[in-house]
Amino acid sequence: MADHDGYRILEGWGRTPRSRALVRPVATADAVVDALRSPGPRPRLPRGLGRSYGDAALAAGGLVLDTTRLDGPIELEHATGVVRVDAGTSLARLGREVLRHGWFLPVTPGTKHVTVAGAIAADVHGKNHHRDGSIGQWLRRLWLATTAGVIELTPDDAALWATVGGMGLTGVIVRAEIQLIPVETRFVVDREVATRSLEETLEVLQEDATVRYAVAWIDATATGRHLGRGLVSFADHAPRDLLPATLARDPLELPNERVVPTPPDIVPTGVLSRATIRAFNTLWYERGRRRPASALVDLRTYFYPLDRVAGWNRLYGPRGFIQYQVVVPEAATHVLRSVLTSLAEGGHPSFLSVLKRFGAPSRGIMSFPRPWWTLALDLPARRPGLEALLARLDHEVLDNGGRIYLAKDGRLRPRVFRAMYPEHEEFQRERARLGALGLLASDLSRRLELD
Amino acid sequence: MLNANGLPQRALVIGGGSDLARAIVRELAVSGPLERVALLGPRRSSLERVAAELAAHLDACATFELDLRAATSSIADALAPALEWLGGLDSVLMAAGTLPDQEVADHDPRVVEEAFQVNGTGPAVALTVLADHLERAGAGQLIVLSSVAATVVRRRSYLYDASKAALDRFALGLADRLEPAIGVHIVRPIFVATRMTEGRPRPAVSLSAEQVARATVAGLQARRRIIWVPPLARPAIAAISVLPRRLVRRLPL
Repeated sequence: MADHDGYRILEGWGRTPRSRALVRPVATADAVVDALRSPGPRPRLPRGLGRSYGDAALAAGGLVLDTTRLDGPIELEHATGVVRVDAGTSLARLGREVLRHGWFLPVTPGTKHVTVAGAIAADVHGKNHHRDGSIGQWLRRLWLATTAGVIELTPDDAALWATVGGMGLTGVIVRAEIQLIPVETRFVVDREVATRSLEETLEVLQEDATVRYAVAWIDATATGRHLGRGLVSFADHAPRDLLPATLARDPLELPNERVVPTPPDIVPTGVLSRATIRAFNTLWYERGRRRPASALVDLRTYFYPLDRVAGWNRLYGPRGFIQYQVVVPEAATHVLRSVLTSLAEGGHPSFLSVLKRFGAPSRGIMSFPRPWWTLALDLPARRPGLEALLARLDHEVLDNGGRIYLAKDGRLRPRVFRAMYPEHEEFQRERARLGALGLLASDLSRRLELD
Repeated sequence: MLNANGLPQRALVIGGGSDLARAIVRELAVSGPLERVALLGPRRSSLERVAAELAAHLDACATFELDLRAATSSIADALAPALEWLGGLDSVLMAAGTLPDQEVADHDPRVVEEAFQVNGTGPAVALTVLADHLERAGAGQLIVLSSVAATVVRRRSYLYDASKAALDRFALGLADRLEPAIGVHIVRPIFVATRMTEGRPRPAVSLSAEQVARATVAGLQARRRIIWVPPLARPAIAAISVLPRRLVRRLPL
């Protein structure tokens, strides 16, 4: 929806909220610095592939720098697996290109359609957080554009740790150097365990010490004694000698991906209703229970199942959806129970629900991951009663030492945010030092009263 | 900012002393993130009373005098301090209105003029200033309290109906101009029992201010441009509008 003058309506992946901003593509680091220095609407904000769910990549009335053209050649050191890559490069392209040489992304979120810069700005985690941490941990160097020019940062710099998880509010990431992990094939060996209750799901998930990837899909529509039942997946990269002869010929080349085309933008509100969400979850659970316990799965199928349907976010209809992701300490499993029960009983079923154990806290000042349990739920948005219910759950999460993931958020309130992230004061000091205060802001940062 | 559930943190309310304004602000504050509200209206005493009632649900509530019967420039001037105090604007609630006595108005052109000023021209002038403000900001919502009366003209209240129709049409035009960056929500309730309608003959079916407030908040969350309260009012009005006029003028509406 582009106006004649370069103004566009922007949305997050959840399609709510929305706002209008001037969007300018930037293809070089110098162009980013120029754009930051130029006169024109404020605030300024970088935006990649727009996969944050809420308002993190929106800047109403401001100038949004589209960084997806910052995607020049990828420089890979074949011996060490250190890669230098432009910030607008998608993880889809980076993953595919380095895989040919026997390397893979050290951390990947549930979609490959994010930029390197977006992944760093959200300090994304993956199914291996319990042993490998978040993406920031694998960062060797970072190039950040500010009004003073492009500065090079290392993990010894506080500014790097303000930028990791800093939601694009410290400067514009233009390039990064990342340590990759070695793999022998494009497959993982996935072992799945069906569980019958939340206790069992949590217990099984704790057996993650010896595997790289561990995550549970939860049937969030199940209530009563079935509450929290699900399918726990444990996976490792498949070694070459495990492949059958038919697959062993080109084990590092990803085949072309077949993608179901984007659904039209006319999906009515009721398609993902209480009934269809419940039916889908029950079917998925029953199907999972009958699947063979262990299987060889393609990396793309394993990490990015939803990428198979382009624009799946449209299935929620014009009201969009909210992803509610919390982390709570080990002892606070009652909060998980309360979240699942309140939403199911309140008539707000989650379409897709994921539970995982986090490892050590991530180092970014504003990074989300820290021990222990993280639960993510997809909820149809803008339904009567939902906001009040989530606001109550926010307090329950906070009171039990937990917090909300900003990359998913579009509705947390300033006071609750400040209590969940006491580090925001240090973050603001780093932003001031980088000259970002008063220049860079998003709808998220203004909603949370950081700007 | 408006949050992912379509609910505001900061609101400017014109006609802030009214029962409907109080009920809607209360609903937005209790079930949503609303925390800073500027109440504008002609009578300091009504504004203060509503502000006191809302205080427990809000972080900050301030009152500002605004008379919609005033000259265009003074309406614009009166909005400025409220906008400045708010610091940011997510939502505008246009709740000003007067219900003139039609029998008096039949013979007194001054009553006719005042009804159009308070229900029509004044709100249109204020909305023009505020729509510009929101358009520059790139996000926000306008909630305009219209009425089913804006869609049907009745012999015993045609002044009210016509003046509300002016506002309703104007808001529809604003919606065409501002959407989808800015949400425009036109609320068309049937008879609501408030101080404005006190002493008037109450029809068989009427609403409380709280019912209208709940429907309004649900409607703006659903991104609805026209919010009929109750929803059945819509087909009822559609039916009336195809009846011959000589029949409608005799109906006890």
